[in-house]
Amino acid sequence: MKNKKYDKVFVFTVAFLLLTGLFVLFSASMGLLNREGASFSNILFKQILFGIGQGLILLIITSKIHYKKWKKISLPLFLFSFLLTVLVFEPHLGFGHGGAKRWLDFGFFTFQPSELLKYAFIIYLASWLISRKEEIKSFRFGLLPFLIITAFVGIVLILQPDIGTLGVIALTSAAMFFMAGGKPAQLALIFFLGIVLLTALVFIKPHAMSRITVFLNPSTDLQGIGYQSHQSLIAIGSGGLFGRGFGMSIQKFNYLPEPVGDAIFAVFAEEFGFVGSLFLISLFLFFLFRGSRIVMQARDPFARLLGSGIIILIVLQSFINIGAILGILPLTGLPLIFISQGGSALAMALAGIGILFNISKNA
Amino acid sequence: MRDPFILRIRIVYILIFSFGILILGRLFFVQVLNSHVYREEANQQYFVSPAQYFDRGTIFLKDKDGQLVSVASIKKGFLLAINPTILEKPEDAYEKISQIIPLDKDLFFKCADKKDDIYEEVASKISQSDKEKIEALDINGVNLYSQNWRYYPASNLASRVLGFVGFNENVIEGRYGLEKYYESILNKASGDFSLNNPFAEIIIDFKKLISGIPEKGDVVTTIEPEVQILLEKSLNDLLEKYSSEMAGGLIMDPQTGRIIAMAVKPDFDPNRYNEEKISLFSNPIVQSVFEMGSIMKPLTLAAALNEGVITPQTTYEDKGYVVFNNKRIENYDGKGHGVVNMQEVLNNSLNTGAVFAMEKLGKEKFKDYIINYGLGEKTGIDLPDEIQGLISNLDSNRDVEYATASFGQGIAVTPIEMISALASLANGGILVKPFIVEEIKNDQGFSRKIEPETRRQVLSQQTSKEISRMLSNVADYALLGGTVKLERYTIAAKTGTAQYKAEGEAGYREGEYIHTFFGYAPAFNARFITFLFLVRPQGARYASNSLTKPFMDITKFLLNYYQVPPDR
Repeated sequence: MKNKKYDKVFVFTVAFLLLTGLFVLFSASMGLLNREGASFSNILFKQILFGIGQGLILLIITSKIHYKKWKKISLPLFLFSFLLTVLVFEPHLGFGHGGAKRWLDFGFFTFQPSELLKYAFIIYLASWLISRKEEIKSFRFGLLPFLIITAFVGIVLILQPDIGTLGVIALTSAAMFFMAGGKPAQLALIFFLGIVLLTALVFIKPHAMSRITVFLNPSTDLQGIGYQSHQSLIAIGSGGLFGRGFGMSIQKFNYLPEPVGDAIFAVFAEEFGFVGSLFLISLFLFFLFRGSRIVMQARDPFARLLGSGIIILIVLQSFINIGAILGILPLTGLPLIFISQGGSALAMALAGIGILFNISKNA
Repeated sequence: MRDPFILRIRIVYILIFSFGILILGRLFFVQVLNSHVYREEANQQYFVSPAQYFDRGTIFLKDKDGQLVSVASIKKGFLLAINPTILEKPEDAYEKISQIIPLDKDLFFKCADKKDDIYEEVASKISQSDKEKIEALDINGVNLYSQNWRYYPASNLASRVLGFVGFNENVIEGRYGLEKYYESILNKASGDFSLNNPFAEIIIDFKKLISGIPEKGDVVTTIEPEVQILLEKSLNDLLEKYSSEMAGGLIMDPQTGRIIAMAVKPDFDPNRYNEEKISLFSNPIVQSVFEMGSIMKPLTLAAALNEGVITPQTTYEDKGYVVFNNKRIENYDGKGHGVVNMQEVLNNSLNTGAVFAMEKLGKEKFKDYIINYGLGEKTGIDLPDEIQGLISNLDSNRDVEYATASFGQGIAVTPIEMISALASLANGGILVKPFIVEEIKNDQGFSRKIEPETRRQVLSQQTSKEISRMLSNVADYALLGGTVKLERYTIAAKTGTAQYKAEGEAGYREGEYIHTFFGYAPAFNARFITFLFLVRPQGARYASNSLTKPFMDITKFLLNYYQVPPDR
């Protein structure tokens, strides 16, 4: 099947998501001129320049690169991004925000290397799983090495700490392990280990503990640790069926922390109501559906695994963000891809989508 | 599709898809089925008292070393509101809460009965610790909201100058004094805008971008706290000792018009203005007129000196009375003193002498000087609702009006007009514009100094020196028989005792007086001019008896406190 075209519907879906995201961000940041550190024009400008602009350049590049080449550079790419992530702990380069060290400061721009690490890890995992073939099913050559690789990434992310990213990587890689042929029993073991780890973390990290407490008992300390969840729900619920209208969120002014960041879905749901939420979730579901078509039409197992990893990563992050805002998952700090303000996450997602474009054409 | 790979991919995708559907289900639950619950909760949290957003600049006094002392600031605390729709047992709630804070019982139950309302304020200005105690009761329908309010740390100090912030209709704003005059600068957020309209905030954003930012900030007054405290103490003593209706005082730098202290007793506590009499809120220094009595004589004599129609040595024969338009004007003692000079006129406060000087000057010229001294003209001081003196008696051509005006009866002026006129005697003949705020510290971090202004030259330097010499002679030899003379400092001073006439009354009241006193020091390079007045004092006939000692105490304090070098 040579000279296949890019999946046009998928391209349009992505473009539509991008425009919707910009529109939602525009609406959510209306009126926030006054807030410290968040100037209205600045938010949009940064998003367009660093998120969409940078992302589209990456997307064009990755869509031109034949997806098979990723298999060859997967290990060096993974090691490189792993090192970058470790660099965050280097005091001259790394800097923190809100209690976590996640950013690298290169003077002229800042960058969140764990965003790169997510995709590099998926690429590496896809090529590694494919190279193992039937050995995946064994413990010594399948599950154990898989766990060891994941553990390396996990330790770095726990130290940052970026439990949300760790969670999404763990889930995505577990899904990939399963798709590549992992046995249900092995999967059960992975989940068991995951839960043990999570429990341990919750007891070690007071921050994580408070989030879990709030998750399990949402009416905890509404002025303190339960504040964000509670205020998010008020925003979403008060939006009702049709919402308050473009730019009209009240919660974003004095009640919601990060109204254009992690909590943007709450602002969106308040402004556009259930109708808006239905539309946005459907858009993500269509993205998932169309992505799955590309993957299943591909003949190459590597393409299937890699493509799936990218799609799952993007959709899962977004759903976990929404789920956390909705109180069905603990708060994680994961962005809502395409919508939240934040350059690195969007740029890397678009780079990943470029790989999907290439798969739709070549595989 | 037998490919197990495809099957596994399907399973994963279906799982994620299901997660999406789960989210939609939850959204449906929150946004459609239970929307009203969250709407209600949202409305409740937006329905906070505007008091939460109240913000206002500080008013400072400034001590002589430049240290700022806050006399009007913002205090943070909480207000208690009940939600009658969910408050189940109001009696219980009242019982428990009233053990922690004072609670108006009638108000509480009146509010609790409003079963359709979700927000009824029942108590305010609650401290952090009381707030925590009330919260610990955990009563459903009892809510605490943060609240800011105006606080006057020094209570009564300078209250007639500061005024207070209070409700005017539905708007919280400065009602009297500096709070009113500087409303536009002090008022940062009156808290009367509706937060339920987020577009208001958007529009404010754009307005700020377009029109620049209006000046908002703190106000620094020229009032020196130590001097103000001393003045108020003196006035309180006077009020008590002579059972006076009112005691007022004013200390100014005669060279610049800088007000150093200003007070009128009785006054009020601006923290509890709603418990005080309305009549205490105004500032008589700028809002009331008084007949000033004999302290007018130096102004009359200075005018005549300035025109060269008299010298200090000019003599006339004092018969003890003069008659104009069939009205007999007498000296205070009714006696004649024979041939006396102008110094004697001041020393013995001879009404006939003041009339003599006025006549030498001529009615037209005299009236010109009165107008030039700024009597009957607002000084332009930065205090609200200033009125101008009443000198309309001089519009008639009757000689007797001019005669009485020459010694301070028949025309009535505000204390601030009087002190500015008198300052021209001390400062080389210049009419200054008194001012009470010297600096605006705006929120952008800049400070704007307010420069002193002068209005006009009224007297010559020479006249100023001459009259100062005559007035220091009064203080050295005539005041209480020369007993209060200071060895090392020259002081210029003059007393006045005016007959009292209540506003609107035609005639003077028998046996009721206004005592006035002014003086400045050092006489020939004056740093301070002090003006004191006492309305309807009991038990002292003349101002020299009642006001000399307080004046001397204040002046000695000032000379010492500001370390003024001796001038003789």
